[in-house]
Amino acid sequence: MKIVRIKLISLVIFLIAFNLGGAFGLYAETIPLKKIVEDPDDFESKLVEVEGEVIGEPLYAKEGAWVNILSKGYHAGIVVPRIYLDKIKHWGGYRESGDIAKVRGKFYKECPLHHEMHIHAHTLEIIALGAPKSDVVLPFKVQMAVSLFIICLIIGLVYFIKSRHGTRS
Amino acid sequence: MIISPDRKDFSTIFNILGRLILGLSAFMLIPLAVAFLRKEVSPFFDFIISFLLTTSLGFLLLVLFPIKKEVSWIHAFFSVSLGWLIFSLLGAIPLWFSKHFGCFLDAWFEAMSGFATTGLILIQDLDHLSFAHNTWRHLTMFIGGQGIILASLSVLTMARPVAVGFYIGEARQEKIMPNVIATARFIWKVSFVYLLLGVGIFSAILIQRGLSIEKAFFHAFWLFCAAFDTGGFAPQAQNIAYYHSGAFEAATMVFMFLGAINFNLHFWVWMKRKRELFENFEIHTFLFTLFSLSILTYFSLKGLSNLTIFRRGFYQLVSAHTGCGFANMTSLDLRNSPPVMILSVIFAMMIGGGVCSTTGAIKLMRVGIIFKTLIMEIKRWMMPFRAVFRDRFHHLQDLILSDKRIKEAYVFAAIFLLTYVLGAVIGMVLGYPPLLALFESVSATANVGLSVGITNPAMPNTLKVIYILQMWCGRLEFLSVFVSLGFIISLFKR
Repeated sequence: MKIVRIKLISLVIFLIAFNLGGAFGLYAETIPLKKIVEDPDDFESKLVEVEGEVIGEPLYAKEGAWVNILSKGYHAGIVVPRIYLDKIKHWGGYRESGDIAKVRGKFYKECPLHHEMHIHAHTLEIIALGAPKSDVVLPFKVQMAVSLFIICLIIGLVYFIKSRHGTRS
Repeated sequence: MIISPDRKDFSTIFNILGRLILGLSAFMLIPLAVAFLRKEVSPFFDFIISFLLTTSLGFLLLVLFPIKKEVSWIHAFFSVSLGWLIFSLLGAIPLWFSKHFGCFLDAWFEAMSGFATTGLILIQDLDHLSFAHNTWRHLTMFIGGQGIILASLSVLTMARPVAVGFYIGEARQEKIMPNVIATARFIWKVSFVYLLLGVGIFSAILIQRGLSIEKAFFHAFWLFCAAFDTGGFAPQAQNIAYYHSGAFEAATMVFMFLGAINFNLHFWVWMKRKRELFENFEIHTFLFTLFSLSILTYFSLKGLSNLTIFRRGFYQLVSAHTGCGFANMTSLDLRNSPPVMILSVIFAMMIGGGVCSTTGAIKLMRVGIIFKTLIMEIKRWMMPFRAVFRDRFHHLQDLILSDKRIKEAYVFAAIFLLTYVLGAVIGMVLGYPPLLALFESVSATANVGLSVGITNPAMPNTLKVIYILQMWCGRLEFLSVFVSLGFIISLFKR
């Protein structure tokens, strides 16, 4: 009876440690996304921590939502519980750079549920906020547009005058 | 006797080009309107400049080069081959202004890839590209897929007598209606019906996944252009993998299939006989080749779940066979796939879709004829010496497998195969592994767009130019390019 109790207590301690592990160092240090994408076999079903810019928009699914992150030209799809979406304020696109998120979760090369390579997030935190991007026109573009407008108008007029009054061979 | 063009011919050709360039500039108004509506200031100016530059060039050619001869086949072939080069150069201007390209050559590559409905990309940081530029990227595929000249043909009245020359010059062998102008208009009508259908279906799926109506509409429009015109561009760098949706991938597959089907077959199924879909020779060839290659892919991926095989293997195979180039896996993933799967995808790309469709490559009709000829030869050896034997096939009507058809099929297949190998050899000389070099060369020539990673901004400029030429020649099926080159050579032989 005592042995059974000890086993049970050990199991509970192990489970608690496993669940808290994510927050207390069971994860390796932040791994560059490039490394995971280039060598997915090395990380299959392992706990990983990655960072990247959140891009596009959330894509909702039954089990939560998909978030795509980008880091130095490498992308990863992350399945996150919907509750984490509130943390993301900026989604990378033309108008703004996205928030930089730190994601901890389990990496799957071939997920039995989703049948694609991705990370099942356990935690998601924003480590840097995104910001609006400037959409400023360079002065040379304005000058060029005005010049071309005048040129286009002149050539167009010449063409219409020629086609109206000129002779066709 | 070979006809050699003179100064009057060139004047006429430049006049036609001027008109076509004006047509292209009209298309630039669409991304311009997008930039205006979405208040994208810098892209708005990119497109204003490009529009004005293109329009000015169009008018200038019309002013300087009047039509001095009745438009003939020489002019048609020259205009088509030169036209595609000029359109890609002009189409590259707004892309280059976007600052998402390392140099103008990269932007030209992207534009040629769009117009030729290839889908290979050199754009950097695609995820932060404006809506206006994305609209233009995808529009180039729609314009190119439908045929730039074909578009102009439906409004160009002065070229009616040789309209068929323009039509064939753009690698379309079959007329649907007795009149080529009517054929061009029918192709546009079919495309617009599918456009409405495609945008509706894609939008519905994307809205259900949480995209706003506006974003869903734009993504749906862009992806329809890419799927139906078998282009393969996507608004996000992950391509179709961005959406993480099996249902969405299935929907894109339907439109890839539709785009790869002969427009003539669309006409027959719509207007004449539904059963033609099940009796058509090209469809039979397609099902046979797809089935055979699917079996190879299945066994190469054995051990994975069926759904994974479907999404990793079959999707890539369909994308390759239809010449679309959508990918739901990274180029690295594709590169690390089993060699048998890579070979299956290469074979699928080599074959392509139906004639008179938006795909490139050798095409189903020719591959089917080559298969049939082989069988015919075997049968002939098994028959009495004096027996006369002619095989038949069904394509809209029962047709005899004539020597002319066989010769045409073998000649085109040989030219394509030679170009595939030539591009691969150049890739190998530049230091890429043989299988990967062949993959990329086939992808460029067959206008597919799947990549194993060779195509990237850091690749050698020589290879970028080679792929541009391969995309150009592959899209026009060499004919108008070769005829134009022949005429130019004839100038020096005078």
